[in-house]
Amino acid sequence: MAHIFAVDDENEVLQTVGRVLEHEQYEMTLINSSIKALQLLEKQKPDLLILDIIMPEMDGVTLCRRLRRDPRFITLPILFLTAKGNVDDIVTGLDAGADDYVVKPFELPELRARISALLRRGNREKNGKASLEIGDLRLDSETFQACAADETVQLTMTEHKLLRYLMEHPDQALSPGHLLQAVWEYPQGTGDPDLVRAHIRNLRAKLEKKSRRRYIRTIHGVGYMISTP
Amino acid sequence: MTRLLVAAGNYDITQTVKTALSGTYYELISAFSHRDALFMFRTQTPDAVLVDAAMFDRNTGERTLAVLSRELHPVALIGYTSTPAVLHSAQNAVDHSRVMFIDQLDRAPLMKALSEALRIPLPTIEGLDDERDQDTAPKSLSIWRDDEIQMLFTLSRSLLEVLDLSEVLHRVVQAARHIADAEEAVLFMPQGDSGQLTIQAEVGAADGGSVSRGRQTDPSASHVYQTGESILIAAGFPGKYKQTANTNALLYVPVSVKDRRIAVLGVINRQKKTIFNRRHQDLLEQLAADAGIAIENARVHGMNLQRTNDLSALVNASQQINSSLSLETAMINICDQVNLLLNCGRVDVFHWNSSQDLPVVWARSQRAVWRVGYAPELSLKSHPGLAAGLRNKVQLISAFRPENPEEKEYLQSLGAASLVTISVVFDGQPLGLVLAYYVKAQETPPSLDVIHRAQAIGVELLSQQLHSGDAYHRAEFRAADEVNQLLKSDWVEFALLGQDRRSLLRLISSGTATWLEETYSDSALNTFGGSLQALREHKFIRASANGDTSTLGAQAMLDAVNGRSMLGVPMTLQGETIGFILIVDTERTRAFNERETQLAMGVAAQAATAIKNAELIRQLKVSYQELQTAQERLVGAARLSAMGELAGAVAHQVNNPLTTIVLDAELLLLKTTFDEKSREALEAILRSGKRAAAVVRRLLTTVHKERTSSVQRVNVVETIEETLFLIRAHVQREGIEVRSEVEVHGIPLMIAVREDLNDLWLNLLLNAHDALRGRKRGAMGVVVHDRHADDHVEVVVWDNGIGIPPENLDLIFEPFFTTKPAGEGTGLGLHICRQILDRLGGSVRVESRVGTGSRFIVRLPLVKE
Repeated sequence: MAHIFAVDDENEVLQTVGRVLEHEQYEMTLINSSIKALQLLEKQKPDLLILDIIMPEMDGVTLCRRLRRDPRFITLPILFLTAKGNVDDIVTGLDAGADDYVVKPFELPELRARISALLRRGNREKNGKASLEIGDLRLDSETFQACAADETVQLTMTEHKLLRYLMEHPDQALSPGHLLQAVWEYPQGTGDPDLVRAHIRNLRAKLEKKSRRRYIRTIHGVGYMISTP
Repeated sequence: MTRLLVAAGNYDITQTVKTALSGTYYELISAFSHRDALFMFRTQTPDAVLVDAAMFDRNTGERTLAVLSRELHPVALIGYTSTPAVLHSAQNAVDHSRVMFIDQLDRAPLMKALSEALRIPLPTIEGLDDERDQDTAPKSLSIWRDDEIQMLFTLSRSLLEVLDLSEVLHRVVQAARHIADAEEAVLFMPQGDSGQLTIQAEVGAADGGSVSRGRQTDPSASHVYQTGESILIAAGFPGKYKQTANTNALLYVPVSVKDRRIAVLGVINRQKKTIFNRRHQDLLEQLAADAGIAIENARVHGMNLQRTNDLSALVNASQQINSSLSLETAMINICDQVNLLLNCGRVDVFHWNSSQDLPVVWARSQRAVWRVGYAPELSLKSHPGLAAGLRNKVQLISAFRPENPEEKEYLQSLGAASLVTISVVFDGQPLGLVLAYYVKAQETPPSLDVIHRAQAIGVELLSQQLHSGDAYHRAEFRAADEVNQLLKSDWVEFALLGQDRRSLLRLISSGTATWLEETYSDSALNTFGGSLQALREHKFIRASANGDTSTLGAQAMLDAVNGRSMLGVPMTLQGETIGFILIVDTERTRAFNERETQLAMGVAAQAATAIKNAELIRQLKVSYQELQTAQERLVGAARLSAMGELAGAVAHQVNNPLTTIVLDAELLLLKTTFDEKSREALEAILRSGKRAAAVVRRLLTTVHKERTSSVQRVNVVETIEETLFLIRAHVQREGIEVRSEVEVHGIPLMIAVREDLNDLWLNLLLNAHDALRGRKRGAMGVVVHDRHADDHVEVVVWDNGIGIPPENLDLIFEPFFTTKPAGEGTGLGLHICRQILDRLGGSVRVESRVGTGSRFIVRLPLVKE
C-alpha cells in the first residue's frame, strides 16, 4: 500500500486531506511544517509527497527545490497544493521540480485522480524496456538517468516519463494536450499546457545545458518532438 | 496802424501774440517759416518784426533773426524765446543795438518791448528803393500786379500748410485758373508703373468742374514733361504745337522738385477769347515752383501716412490672427484679415506637408462677386444634378452617393462633401439656384421655412442682378451670410440661369470654410508646377486678366480660380515654405502693387507664425490628453494591482477553508447514509462551497498578473486552441455546444506575450459562457479569418446568449462594470481584454442583440512575412 506524506500548515486542510487519503485507503503521514517534513523524510521515503506551497518558515517551493537536489529524492513524486491559483506560483513550483499540482479548493475526484496518476507513474516505469537510445541520447529507466552527449543527468519521475514517451514516439510532434493525457493521465480536454511547458523546459535545461544540442524540438502550432538522426 | 510781422513756426506763438495785441493799433501779419518771413518782410514792409529766436534757414542753418537784422530795409526787431540757451546763442548772433529780446508774450511786456523797439533809431540808407527793386526782388515780380503777388504768396503759404495730396492738387489748379484768369486749369501727373501722364486735378472743365481723373494726357503736356520747357499756345500763334479742338489758348508749365519733373500744370481757354502771355507764364511758373514743393511734401506725408496706416493695419491684422490659438480660428482670421487689407474677393490658405508635392487647402474665404460676362459658368448638360435642382424646390447632393457621379467630381474639386440646391423662381420662371456647400457630409436637407427664406433672398439678389446690372454692395454679402447661417452651410453661391437656359452663372460666392481634418487638395493646382515652385522658393506670384503676370503658370492659375487678378505670397517659417496664401480678385483687373504685395507678405509672415503656434498648441493638447489617458490608466493599473494583491491574499485565506468545506462535504456524501433533509442540507453546503470557489477562481484569473514572460512570435490560432482546450470540457459539461472554425492561410504569427493572448481568449470565452447561463441550446464559439490584404487576423468570439442592451455597449469594457449578481463577477474580464488589445495594437468591437446573442470581433496585427 502506497504511503503518502501530506504537508500543509493549515491544520484544517491537512485533516481534510487526511480524511480523503484515509477514504482512498492510503497510508499517510500528516505533517504541518516543512521543517518537520524534512526531518521525517530523513527517516522514511514515502511513495508520494503532497506539498502546500505557502507555508511559514520554509515554503513548499523551497522544500521541493531542496529535495530535488538530493539524489535520494529526485524521483520522489511531488504534488503541489496551491491556494493562490496564480500561474506564476504554479510555474515556479513546476520549475522547482514538482510533478503536478492542484489548485485549492479542489474537488474530491480531482485530487483522487492526481494522486493515483502519480502513484501509477512511479510503478509502471519499472516495466518495459530498461533503456532507450536515439542518436547520442540515451535513457536508462532503471536509474531515471539520461545520457546526452556523454553527460549523465538524473531526471525526476515525471521528466523521465515525459522523455521516455517522447523517445518512444520519435519523429512525431506531440501536442501539450496529448502529452497531458499520456504522461499526466489527465482526462481529455483538461489539464494545463503550462505543466507540459514547464517540464519540457526543465528537461531541456538538463539535457541541453552541457551538450548545447537541441534534442527536443518545438514544432510551432503543434507541439514537441524528438527526431531520429 | 503799425504793421507787425510775427514770424514763428509754432502756430501757438502767432495766436498768443494775436490775442495779446487784440484791440491795439497793431496790425498783425504772420509768417510761418524762414523763407515765408523773408518774403513777407520784403513785400509787406512791416514796421516791426517779432521773430521766434529759434527760427532758422534750413538751407544755411543761419538764424532768421540774424538774417533780418542784416536786411537793408531796417525795422524794429524783437526776438522771442522762453529758452535761456536759445536766447544766449541768438544774442551772440545779432547786433545787440538793433534787436530786443523778450521771454514772454503777455500783453504788457509785449507792448513795452514793441514801443521800445520802435523808438530805436533806424539807420538810413541811400537809394533804398532802387536797390530793393534791382537786387532783392525777382525780376519777374516787377511786372506783377499787386493783387497777383498777394494771391501768389497767400497761395504758396497755404499750399505748404496742406498735407492732403488731393487737396493740394485741387488748390494748385484753383490758383492756376485764378492767376491766369483762365477758364480751365489742369494738372497732369505720371501714374502707375507705366508712368503715363494722366489728369490728376482739374477745374472749370466743360462738364461742370467735376474731375475726370485718369484721362489720358495730350501730347503737349507730355512734351512739357519730357523737356521741362513751358508751352504757350494761342489762337493764330505760330508754333509747332497744333491747337487742339475747341482750344483758344493754352499754357502748360512743368512742375519740378530739385530738377526732377513731377507734374505739368496748365491753363486752358476754350470759349474765352483771351489768350495767355509771358506774364501769365511767369506767374504760372512761380506757382509751379511752390506747387512742386507742396505736392512733394503732401506726397511724402501721404506715403508716411499710408505706411503708418499699413503698419497699424498689419499690427491689427497680426493681433487678430494671433488672437486665437485654435488653428481653425487662426485660419479664418488670416483669410478675413487679408480680405480686409487688400479688399479682394477670395483668399485661400494652402499648406505644404514636407512629404507632399501638392499643397492642401486649409482654409478658403470668399466674398466674391463676378460681373455677368466673367462669371464662372456651369453647363447644365454636364451637371444634371444642378439641372434637376432647377426643377426641384430643394435637393441634397452628396459627393459620396453613387446616384450623382457627375456632381461628385465637381464637389470634390471644391472640397465639399454635400451640396444643397434651392431653386429660385420669380414670376413662375426659374431664375437660378441658391447653392449651399458643406465640407462635412449632410444627412438631411434643411427645413421648409429655412428654404423659403433662402429662396426669398435668392430672388432678391438674382433679380437685382437682372435689373440693375452689376451694382453689388455689402448688402449682398450680408444676405449671403444670412443664408449660410440659415442653412448652416460653409459657403453659399447664387447662380443665375443664363439667357440661353443652358448654363448657370455663379455670380456671388460667400462664406468661409476650413479643411483641417479633411484633406482637400485642389486638383486644378496640379498643372501649375511652375507657380508652385516659385512659391516654394519664397517668391510671390502675380497675375491679372490684362496679362500682367509673373509666370505663365500664374496666368493659367488665375483662369482656374475664375479671377480677374491674383496674388500668391509664400508663408515662410525659419526658411521653410510651409504654405502660401492665394489672394484673388474676382471683380477687378488690378495689378497688386509693391505696397499691397508687401502687406500680403507681412500678413503671410504673421500667418505662418500663427499657424505654427496653433499647431504647437494642438500638439500640446494631444500630448496632454495622452498624458491624462496614461495617468488614468496608471491609476487604473495601480487599482488593479492593489486588487490583484488583495485577491491573492483573499484567495489564500478563503481557499483553504473552502477546500475543507468542499472535500469534507463530498466525503460525507460518499461515506454516510442520510435522511433526505440532511442530504439536501449537505448538498447545499457543497454547492455553496463550489460556488464560492468559482467566484474566487474567477477573481484570480481576471486580475492583472505581473508577467515575466517575454515578447515573442506567437501563433494566434495556437493560443485560441489552447484556451478552448482548457475550457471546452468544463463548458460542454453544462450542455453548451462549443464550435470553432479556423480559416487561415499559413500560420498567423504576431508579436505578443503568449499569456496575454491566452488571457484575452479566456476572458472572452468565459464572458460568452456567462451569457449562456441558464439558456437552452446554448452555443458559443470562435471563428478565425486571416485578412492578408491588411495583415490582420480577425477572431470572432460569439454566443447565442442573452445579449447586451445597447445602453451598456459603451460600458462593458469599463473596469468593475458587471451585470452579474454581486459577488459573481469582478467586472474586470472585458476590461482586461481591452488592456491586452491596447498593448498588442489590436482592437475589438461588439455586435449584440438582446435575446439573440453577441459577437466580439477582435482584430490583431500579424507579423508581415
